[in-house]
This record gives sequence, C-alpha cells and structure tokens, in this order.
Amino acid sequence: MDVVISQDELQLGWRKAATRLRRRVNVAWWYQEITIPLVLLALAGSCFALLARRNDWSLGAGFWSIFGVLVVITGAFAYWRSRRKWLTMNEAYVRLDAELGLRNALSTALAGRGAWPGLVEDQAVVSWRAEQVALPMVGALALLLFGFAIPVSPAVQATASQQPYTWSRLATEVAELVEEGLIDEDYAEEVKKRLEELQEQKAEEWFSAASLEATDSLQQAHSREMNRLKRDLMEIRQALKKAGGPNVSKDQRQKLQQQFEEAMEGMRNGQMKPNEKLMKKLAEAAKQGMEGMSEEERNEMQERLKELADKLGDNPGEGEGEGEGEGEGEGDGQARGPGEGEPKRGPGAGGDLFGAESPNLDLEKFEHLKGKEDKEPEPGDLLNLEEIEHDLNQSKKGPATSGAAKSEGLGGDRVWKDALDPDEQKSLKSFFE
Amino acid sequence: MEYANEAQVAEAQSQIKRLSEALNQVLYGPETLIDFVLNGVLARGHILLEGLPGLGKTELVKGLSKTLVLDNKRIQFTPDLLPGDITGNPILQEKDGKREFVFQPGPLFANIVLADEINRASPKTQSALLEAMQEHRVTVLGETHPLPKPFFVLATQNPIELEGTYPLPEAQLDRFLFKLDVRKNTVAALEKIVNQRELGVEPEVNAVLGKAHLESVINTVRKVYLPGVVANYIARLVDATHPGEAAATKTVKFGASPRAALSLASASKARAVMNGRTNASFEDVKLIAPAVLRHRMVLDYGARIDGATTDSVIEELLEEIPFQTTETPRPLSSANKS
Repeated sequence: MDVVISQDELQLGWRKAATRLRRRVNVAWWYQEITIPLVLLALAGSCFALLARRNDWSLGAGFWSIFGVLVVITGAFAYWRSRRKWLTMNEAYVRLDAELGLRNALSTALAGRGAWPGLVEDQAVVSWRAEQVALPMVGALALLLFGFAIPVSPAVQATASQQPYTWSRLATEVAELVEEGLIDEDYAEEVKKRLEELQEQKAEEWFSAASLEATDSLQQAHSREMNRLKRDLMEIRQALKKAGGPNVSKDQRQKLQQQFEEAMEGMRNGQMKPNEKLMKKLAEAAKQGMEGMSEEERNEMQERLKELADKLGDNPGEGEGEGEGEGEGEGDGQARGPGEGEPKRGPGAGGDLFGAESPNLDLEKFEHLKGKEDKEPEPGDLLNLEEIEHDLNQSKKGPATSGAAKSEGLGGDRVWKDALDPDEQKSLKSFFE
Repeated sequence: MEYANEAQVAEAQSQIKRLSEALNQVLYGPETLIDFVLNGVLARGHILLEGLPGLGKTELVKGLSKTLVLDNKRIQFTPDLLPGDITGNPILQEKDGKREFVFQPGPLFANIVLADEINRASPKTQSALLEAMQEHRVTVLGETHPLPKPFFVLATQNPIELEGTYPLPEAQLDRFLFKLDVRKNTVAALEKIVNQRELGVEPEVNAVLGKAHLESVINTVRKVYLPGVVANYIARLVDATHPGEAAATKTVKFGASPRAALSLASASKARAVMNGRTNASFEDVKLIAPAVLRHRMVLDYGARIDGATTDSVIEELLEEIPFQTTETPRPLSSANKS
C-alpha cells in the first residue's frame, strides 16, 4: 500500500534538502576562500618558528595565541569574501531541480504553480572532493610541522671569543697594569673606551681592514706608551743609581737631577701615567732633590722602579712596522717574514719566492786581464787575433728573377728567419738540406 | 495570468497522444520527427522539413492534415510560380451588369499549407509568404485578407539538386519555428513500409482531432507555466549563440534573434504538455534547441571549410551553458543525476 505524503510534508522535505545543499555549498565556498590564506599563514608560522628556533626565542603560549587569533581573523575574512558567492534558498531549489532532473518541478511548486514532487531518496547533488578538502589542510599542517621539525642550528652569535684577540689581550694587559698599581686609571678608562668603540661595530666588520687598522693603531700606541713609561722609569732609576755612586761631582749631580726631572716631566705629559701613589712619591723625591734622600731610600726607590719597569715588560719597538698579525692576535713583537702582511705594515718587498736563486757573481773579486806579453795591458791594446770561419748559408738556391720583391715570408718561414737563434737556424737549415 | 492545471494538461496530453498514434500508423519509424512536427504545431509555429526525396516529408504533412481534420492545401513551388499564384488574385467579374474585381483566394487560404520544395520558387514568391507566416494575412492590391485560423506552413526543401533553387532568405528562415532534418528510415521501418504500403496508394488516415479540439490543446499550451529560471536559461542560451558570447560560438557569424527565444519558450511549453507537465523545464529547452536554432545561426566561412555545422556548434553550446548560473566551489563535485 502506497504511503500518501501530504504536500506540506513534501514541501518540508524539499526545504530540508535545499537547506542541506545550501549549507554544504556555502561551507565549501568558505573553505575555498580560507584555503590560500590558511596555507600562507601556516607558511608564515613555519618561517617564524624556524626563525625563533634559530635565534632561541620562546615559542610558548604566546606564539600559539597569536597564531590562533590570526586563524580566526583569516576565517572571518574568508567568511566575508565567500558571502558574495553564497547560495540562496531559491538557487538551492533550482540546483536540486537541475541536478536531480526534476524538470523544474521544485521551481514551479515554489512559485505556487504546481505540486511539490515526490521526495528523492538520494538528494546529495554535490559531494566533497576529498583531495580538494584534505590537501590544503594537510599542506598547512605539514608546513607548520616542518617549522618545528626541520633541524636548525642556532644562529652563529658573535661572541667575545670571536673578537680580534688583540682587543681582549689589550684589555687584560691594561687591567693587569692597573691592578698592579703601575698605571693611572684614566689611561685604562681611555683604552677601554676605544675598545668599546671598536666593539660597537657590527660583528661582521670586526675583522674588516679598517677595524684591524684601528686595532693595530691602538695596540701600537699602547706599546709606545709602555715603552715611554718604562724608559722614563729606567732613566729615573739610572739617575738615582748614579747619584748614589762615589765621587759624583756637583755638576754631575745637577745633570742627574735634571735627568730625573725631565723623566718626571715626560711621565706627566704622557698618556700612560704611573699610578697616583708612585707619582706622588717620585714628585717628592724630585722636590727634595736626590741629595736629600738617604742611601736606604734611594736603594728602595731603585728596586721599586726596577720592579715596575720589569712589569712593563719588553714591548715591540715603535715605528718599525712590527705589530701583531692581522687576525692572528699574536702580540709577540716578532717582525714579519718578508712579503707577508700589507705593504704598509710589512718590512718591504718579498724575497726570492719564485724561481731559482740568482748566481753569485762575486762582484767583489776582481781579476786582472793578462796580455800575451808579460806586461799589464793598457786600454786599447790588442789582446788576441783568431781566424774563424764565417757562418755562411751554404744551401743552394734556384734561379731567382731579377728585380723580384723579396718576400720576408709569413708564419713558420718568418719564425726561422727572425725569431730563431743562430744555432736553431743552423739546425733548421741542415735539416732542409 | 491563468496557468494550465494538471487536469487540462492531462486532457491535452491524451489528445496529442491519439494524434501521434494515428500518425505513427501511416508513417513508420520517424517517431521523433512526428513528435517534433506535433510540437511545432502545438506551439503555433511553421515548420521547415529538409531531407532527400522520398523520405516521407510530404506524406507526413498530408497525414497531419488528415488527422487534424483541417483544411489543407499543397503548393508545389517552381521557379515560375508568382506571388499571386499563392496569395490569390483579383479577378474581373461581371455582376449585375457591372464589372468589378473580386478577390479569388489562393492556396495560402487554408489551415495547413504544404509548401513543397519551397526553395525552388523565386525570392519574389518566397517573400509573398513572409506576411502570411508572420501576421497570418495577405495583402493584394492594397486589400488585406486574413488567413484562416489556425494557420501553419509546413515547407519542405531538398538539400541536393541545388541548381535552379533560391536559398531561403534569413528573414524567412527566422519565421520557421523548427527546421527538421528528415533522415533515412531504419531497416525495420523500411520492412514495415514494404509490408504494409503499396506504391501509388495513399494510406488511410483517421481523423483524430477537430479544429476546436486543436485550438483547445493550443490554448492549454499557452497557459503552461514557464519558470523564471527556465526563461533565464533560454535568454542565456540565445545570447550565447552570438559570436564571442561563448567558446562554442567563436565560429558563428550571426546568432539567433529574439524571435528564437520566443520560439524556444513556446516550443518548450508545448513539449511540457506533450510530457504531461504543467511547467516547461530546462530539459525541454535543451531538447528542442537544435531544431529552433539550427536555421537561425550562420557559421563563418572558416568553420564551414573545417566541416563544422550549426548542429555541432549547438551541441557544444548546450554543453557549455549550464542550466543554472550558480557555480560549484572547488571542494565540491557535482553529482549530476539528471
């Protein structure tokens, strides 16, 4: 027995079918619109994750919160974009009409011009395409996953150990001198300030020519200052030592006093000054004059100055083109080998790096010519006469036209005529004969 | 506007079915052709039948006239046929001692006119048909004479033996609702013809539908509901026949006229009644589109050289133009169960 379905029920049934279709199509539009932005977002997220891992930034809840918010914004944007293409209810009915082959019965019934057709069992007129749905989502997830899974080595940070060695060595050296109470802190501050200026450059420029030049310059200035200080100290010590010796005349004593004071003046004017305590002591000594010092005080002072001078150590000589190697950071004071380093820094042009060593002509040894007769030849004397055979071309020549222009030949012909040495020409001639 | 109800449509459908069965009794085989001819008549259109001699074109038209119990005339078109020969002429007659012109109606004054080998008549005579076909009247010597109702022209033409013929002008072609290709019979149909027909003896055809009944059926057809989406499909389809409007019509020189759109609407309504429906549908339009459009489109020279025909272009066009305008998003696929 057939079940009679009322028109109201049919209408309701078709309305449900149209609503389902409409919802599915509209969701698909939204999904289509969100696909590309979502993949781009995932790509950006992935890049950010890689960057963060490389730079050791935190990727905690903050990252995921921002990512979530961006996904929501993207969804809203896709919703707004897709609305223009959304299916209306009437269009859904038409779509059902067309796809189910209902001969426009739904459109007619909707317009009130005919009866609602019987419900169709399979009302799914559109179906999801798995690859179109899954691919973008899988792609986006894969991109995100790559961002977290791809092995990334942390960014190479410019650390102190990778700074030019000279900087750290210089800083240590100055700090030690201050710590040992040798030099004034103002000089240490000045050096520190200049070193900081160098360090403030971009890390990739630390080893640039300009930076190394500046480093060299600082190092040389420091060496000069140390040498000068040492020299001044040694001069004072020398003056004290001589002043304490026997039979020192008044004039000599005055000279020594003058030497003492000049050295003091040099120390005052130099950039690197002895520390305040030492300077004060020396100034007192200079003020009361060497005569006012007891033997014991003088010896103690000499010992102290020697100790200080030793601590200043042996420094490279100034103005000799000697310095530490570029990027090597070795301040050993040894001169470069010939041909090494920049022309300005090195001691000059390189030696015989290429080719054999030139023969020793022994120009220092002179040998006198001897004539046939046992007498010293005079300039213009005939030394020897000898009969030699001239090197004539003996090859036979064919008849030649008189007045013909002489061809100098080209190519090989010209080579043996012009470019070969006499021995080679001779060999060549004999070969052709 | 009053629309046809299901009862009216059912009644009309049964009448049409009887008509179709009666015609099928005498014309064996071309059921589709008979359906299209009936479709054209119910849509109040004129029909151009094109086919080789002896395929039953004239027989079909004569059979239709007999089943419809309508007045029918046959005009054999020849090059020397004059307009007056078909429209009628004023003849000088003496009446009560006075001489006066009396209009003598020509063969056009019938319900069904069989214009046999219409392309053999001169353009002058062909053009005499224009007014009759469009406005259902003829004008002779300034006097207009209405043609009887209903009025149908069923013309035939031979696609070969083109020597001494005059191709129908576009204006006249456009007035035919359908152009139908009459194809050769199948072996089974031929066997049936051999068994049941005799050379030189006309088959007996039963009169099925009177004039009043026919008008009633035609009235029902006119009241069939044409949904807006179907009208939209017709409009898009006709628009797409113009060059550059669709990929399929790149080789078209001239597209179909608005009259073609009206013809599609009218014929799809008739087809709906033939199928017992109260509304026209996308499928009706698609089915009748080739018959309505094939003589209204002109292909360019290049396309003709390439062997393209209007039928092949229309076929592509029908594939290209969807029933509805909504797109399917990429993540979905259309099940297309129609």
